Amino acid sequence: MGIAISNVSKTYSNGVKALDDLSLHIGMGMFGLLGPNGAGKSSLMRTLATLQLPDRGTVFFDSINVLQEPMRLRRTLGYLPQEFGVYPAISAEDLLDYFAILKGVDSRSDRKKRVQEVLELTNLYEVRKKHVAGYSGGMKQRFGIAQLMLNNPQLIIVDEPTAGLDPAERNRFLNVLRELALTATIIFSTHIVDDVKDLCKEMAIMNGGRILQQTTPRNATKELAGKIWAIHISRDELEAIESAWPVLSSTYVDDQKIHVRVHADSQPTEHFQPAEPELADAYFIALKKDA
Amino acid sequence: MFASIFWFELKYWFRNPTIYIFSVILLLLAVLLMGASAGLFDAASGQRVADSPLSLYTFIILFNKLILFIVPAIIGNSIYRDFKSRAYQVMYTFPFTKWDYLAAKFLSSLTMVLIIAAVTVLGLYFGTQLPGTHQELLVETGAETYLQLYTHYLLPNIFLFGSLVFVLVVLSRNIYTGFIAITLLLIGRELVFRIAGNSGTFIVALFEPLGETATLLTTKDWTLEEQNKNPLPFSELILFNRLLWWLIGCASLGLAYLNFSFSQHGWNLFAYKSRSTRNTKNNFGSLIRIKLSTVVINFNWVHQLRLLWRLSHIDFKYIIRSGSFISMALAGGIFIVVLLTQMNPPYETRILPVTWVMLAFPIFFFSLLVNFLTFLYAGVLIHRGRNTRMHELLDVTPVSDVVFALSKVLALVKMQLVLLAIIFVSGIAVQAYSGYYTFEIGHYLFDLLVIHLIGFIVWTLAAVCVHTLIAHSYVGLFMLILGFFGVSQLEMIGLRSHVFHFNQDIEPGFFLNYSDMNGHGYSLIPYFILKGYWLLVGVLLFLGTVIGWSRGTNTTLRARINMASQKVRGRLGLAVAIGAVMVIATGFMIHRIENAFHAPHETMRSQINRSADKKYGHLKNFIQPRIINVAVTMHLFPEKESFESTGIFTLLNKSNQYIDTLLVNYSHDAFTEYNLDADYETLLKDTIAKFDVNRLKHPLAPGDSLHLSFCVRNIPNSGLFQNSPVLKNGTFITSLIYPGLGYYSSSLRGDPNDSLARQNHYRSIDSDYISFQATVSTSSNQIALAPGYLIKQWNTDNRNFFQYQSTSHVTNDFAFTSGRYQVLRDSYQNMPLEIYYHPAHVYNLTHMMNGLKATLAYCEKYFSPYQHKQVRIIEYSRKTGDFAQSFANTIPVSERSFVMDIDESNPLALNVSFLGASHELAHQWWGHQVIPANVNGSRMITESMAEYISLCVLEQTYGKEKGKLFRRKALDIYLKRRVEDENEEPLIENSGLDKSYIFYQKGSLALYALRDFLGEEKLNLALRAYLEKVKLQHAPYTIPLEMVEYLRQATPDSLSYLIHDLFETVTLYDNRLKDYTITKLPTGKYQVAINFTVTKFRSVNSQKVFEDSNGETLTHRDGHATVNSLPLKDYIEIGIYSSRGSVLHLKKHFVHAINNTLTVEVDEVPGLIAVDPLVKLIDVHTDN
Repeated sequence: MGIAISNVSKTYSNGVKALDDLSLHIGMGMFGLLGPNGAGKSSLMRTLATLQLPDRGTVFFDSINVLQEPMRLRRTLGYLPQEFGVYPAISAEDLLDYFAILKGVDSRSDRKKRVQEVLELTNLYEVRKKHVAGYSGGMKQRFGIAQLMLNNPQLIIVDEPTAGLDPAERNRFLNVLRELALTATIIFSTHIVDDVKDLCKEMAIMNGGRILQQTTPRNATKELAGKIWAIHISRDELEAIESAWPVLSSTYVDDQKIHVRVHADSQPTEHFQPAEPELADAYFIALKKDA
Repeated sequence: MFASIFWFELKYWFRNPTIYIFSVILLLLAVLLMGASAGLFDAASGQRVADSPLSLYTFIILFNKLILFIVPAIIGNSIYRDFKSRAYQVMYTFPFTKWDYLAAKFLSSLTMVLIIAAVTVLGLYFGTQLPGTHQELLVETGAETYLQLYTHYLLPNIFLFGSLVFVLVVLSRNIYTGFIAITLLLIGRELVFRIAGNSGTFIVALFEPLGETATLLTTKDWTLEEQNKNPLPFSELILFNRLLWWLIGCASLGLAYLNFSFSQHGWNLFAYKSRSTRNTKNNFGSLIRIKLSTVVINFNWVHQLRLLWRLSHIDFKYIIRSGSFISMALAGGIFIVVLLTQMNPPYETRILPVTWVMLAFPIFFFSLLVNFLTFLYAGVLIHRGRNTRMHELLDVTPVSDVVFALSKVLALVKMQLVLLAIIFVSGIAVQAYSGYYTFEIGHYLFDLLVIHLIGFIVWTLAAVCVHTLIAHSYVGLFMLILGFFGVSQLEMIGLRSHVFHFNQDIEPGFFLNYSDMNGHGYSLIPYFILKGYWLLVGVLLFLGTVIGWSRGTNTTLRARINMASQKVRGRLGLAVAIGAVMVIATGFMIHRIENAFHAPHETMRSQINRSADKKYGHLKNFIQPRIINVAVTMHLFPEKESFESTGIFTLLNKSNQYIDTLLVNYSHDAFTEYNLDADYETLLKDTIAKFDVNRLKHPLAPGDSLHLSFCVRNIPNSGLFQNSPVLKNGTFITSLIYPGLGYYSSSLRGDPNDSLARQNHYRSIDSDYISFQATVSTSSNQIALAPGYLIKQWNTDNRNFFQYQSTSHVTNDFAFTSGRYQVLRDSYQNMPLEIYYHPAHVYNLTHMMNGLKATLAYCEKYFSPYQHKQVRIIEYSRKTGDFAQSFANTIPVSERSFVMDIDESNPLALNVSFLGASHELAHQWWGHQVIPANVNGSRMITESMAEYISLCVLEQTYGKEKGKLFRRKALDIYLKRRVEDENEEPLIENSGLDKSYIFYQKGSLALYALRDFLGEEKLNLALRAYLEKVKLQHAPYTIPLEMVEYLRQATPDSLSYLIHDLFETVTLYDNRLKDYTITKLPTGKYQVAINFTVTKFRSVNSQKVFEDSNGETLTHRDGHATVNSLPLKDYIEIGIYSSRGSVLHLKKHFVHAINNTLTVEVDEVPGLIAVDPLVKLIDVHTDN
């Protein structure tokens, strides 16, 4: 059970090459697609979600040829776009019922039951009579999850779902996804490294329409063991370090000092201390390699 | 900052294709419309100049209304764009003031609309310059008129509506509010017109937002010549109107400014706040276990159908709960109520609230409303997902494009059903309220659900298709509105075949001619054929919708074409191919039926007649034998809607020469075969003009006779066209279907001085008087009638046979009627009076009977005995017409006249049933005893006399007030119609058959005026003397001048001016009461001093002439104005009434000057003083 993406390319009419001969295999469970803004993540997600056709390439979900038989995929698809609106002046309960109808839940009692369940799961039951259009960002995102669960989806695609959520909301959200991943393939795109670290069994790093690296969070850090070095410097020293060594990140520790992480096979100078590799290091290394 | 936003906006618009689409469409439309009016397609009629200032003005107003629908799309959109794109979240934080923002937005978009308007005006000008236009229809109006129209009408109207739309969109943040507001304003305007009358009053003119009424009010009395020449007026009324609305426009902009704030939320008409609660979060941490119950997910076709229904219902509920729909439906409902109460205005002819009336009145307005809402909501529903940005969630659901698209169609159809239900409910309610309890539910449902709904569904399919293919909903809406109005004009640009007239009926508005006797009759068959065709086209459009259905996130044209071509490769492509083949096949079939032989329609017929006149006109006085005996057998087959008739004419050579050439004409509406019982050869057979020239081997000697036998059959109904005059019930066929002798053309009527023209009377050119026998057969449940007396009646082969014969000589002019009748029998001095009526139409029978009796009494007293032994009124189906016609002792009357709402107690209504019967019966004297020659003006002897007699009988039966009301209405119609006529002729020489206002209205007024001066006895005595002189005479037949001579002889010299004024010239008064003083005298009486002016003029070629034949004119200086008049030696009646209405003074005063004073003593306080209070003179100034 899984997704097979082969040689998919897409160039938009404004000349942007969003997907560049991209191939990817994804199995069951939670898959994280990590990449900066504009990497082509959403283009890939929309292609998987049957919302747009690539110029070239094939996409299969099990036996379903996604590009040729979109309707078959849609029957087992749960999709949460990066950003969405809702019809004004409709309550969550009514709107979920509407989506349940659209997703083929035929019997009225089934729908009623299912809508109530997903409302409870997403903790929206209390506000089910309120207009969704008036929801806060977090509530709306939970509504997005709720609609996604209406039809026992086998393939779930969520595009940057945690952007703009407060920590507690994010946490809860990720927990729900983790639960869903027990029975479905979930593809989850984000530009937040921690989302992937906390959640995904497998992951890929994407930029410029290509997959730069497909790995698991654990392997990614394991490979870097002994190759990450850290140093505390003052602001004035930064440029010199940057020109000398491949700097992965530089962050203020306090008002004066900057914590700089560098990727190198051996200790650059004695001022550098060995550091525990993090997923973020792998991410930056992959992006740097590509650049 | 203002300037930079302004320029940014202008650049935005100039890069936007919308502007160019609108401009090009309007430009083309303007060029075409002007070109067409200037004769480009030879479709222009009449003498109306296409580019006179007034014509230009009407075009401008028309385009103004179209442009109004662009206003929301541009001015509303300029601000709505920022809400929709959510740019406001950023923009509102930018450092510009509200003023900069709003002013720049408004002015830039206003500029764009003004540019489009300017392009339209240019289009009109280009239209006048097209090669192929007719120069006589153009006057080369100068640029300043175009400019004036632009600055005085387009500019202020666009500004006004632009600012209204702007404020509404600012407040509601919803662009559709703008569309709705424009529509509601136009509906409201229409409503006010309905209530106030179209010419309107001062107040209406002042407040009407387009300034149209103000202009119409100023120009309503213009003659055609003035309309063609005069520059546009800019009266104070127009000025005030414009000023007022400029102010309102500015005020709404002020309102927009005051109420606008850079904030997130708009202003909602139906806003309410439910109880507020404080939200706190309690969803921290906690892992959860997801265990969902099992649900059945199903996608079989039953589910698809249920899905379709549910989706459509959700959309439907959304529509009917929206404020826009509610306000429009409400406006529609109010409109219907106003219409249906207006249906019987107190002053007009009243008709009973029968079902076809209930259905006919609202449907025109409602079909506009229903279609407009369909166009609007099709866009709303289709773009709703994208507009609310929910489309990504919707598009990934496993719902097929077909179900999505069809659910929108279904939702719109449900909305249409709600609107149609409004017609149904209000119709029933008005009927119940009026005490009319014959509820024909089936008739309502059939008309609404079968006839109207199918047409709406076809438009729905088109609307859904257009909105699917065009991403901008307002461009789509505009295109649809344009298409809706455009399809009826396709014929103008040369697309004559109905195959191209999208969703149009072959007989537009045929449902308005519903007949209680015959239902919709044969019209349903062409209707269903064409609607079947358009439904097929609709299905094809729907397939196009599915193929073009936009789904997903990549909506560039290329992506959509890719998507579409992928879909076409599947089963959908096959369906399109099959659909296209079916449409083409059906279209081809329809085209073939269209071009197959059928009875020529109106325009074709007049073309045929014109060219025949050229070819054969010189034969019109060719000496022919006269028909002296007619014996016909007519077999009517109502079920089969056909007839077959045979007959024999006996022809007698009454001339003193040998006749060797026989000219035979025969009907366009039937198949005719004929034969002569003499040897002859046919020299010419013109099967188009239906005219043959035959040469007799042996010329017919004077006094000899021969027989012409013929067989006439109907042309069968051909699917698209009803060719047969036979109906299932209520058939009415006149003798025009039979052959005749000589060349006849209605446009070649003779001049009264033409002695040859006087050889024929006006009822037929091939006979003087005939003896007449007819055998008529019809189906066993019908009665068939013909003029003459029933001799014999029998039943053979389950068919009814009737034999009629006239004992006295009658004219060669007869008719057959057949229907399932009930008969009301009465008598007048032992003479049978009968009314054959549709069993349900019992409402007006007594009034008709009374009209017959009173008229018999009046005419026998004053003129001569009635020449027949019986009077019959026979009802026929509305399908054939709305008129009545008098034949020998037989008067067929349209069923419309059987459902009049007669209220004798209403002082403002006339008993039209009584009047109608009276008028037609009066023709038995004036038309059947006095038979004028076939010359211009002859209808003064027939129609004017019949009107005059019915007026006299009415006054005798119902009193003076009703007589005055009759004359008042006649005068109103006369004055209204004469200004539309370029060439009004005097009564005695009036040539136009269509100028009924002269023989009917003016004729009755002229004869009544003379009666008033001479006295009833004296005038009628003169008329009697004339009747006795010419009664049943032989050629040369009488002419109007002869009748006028009798009137002149009866008129004393002092009043002889009346004969000249009333009959021989077109003469009108303009009499006004200037002022008056009332003094109480010591005797207890009151002295009234009245100052009034009298002027009189002749109208010659629409010009006022104040000089008499000696070149003399009266003049009077009234302040600054000079008033002219023909010399006066006239008698003018002055009336003084008490406030209770009793007459204090009513006397004719001799007047020989324009300005007159008069002092009279009366017994009571005068309540009303009037010049010519009883409406006896023809006075242009009617409201004194």
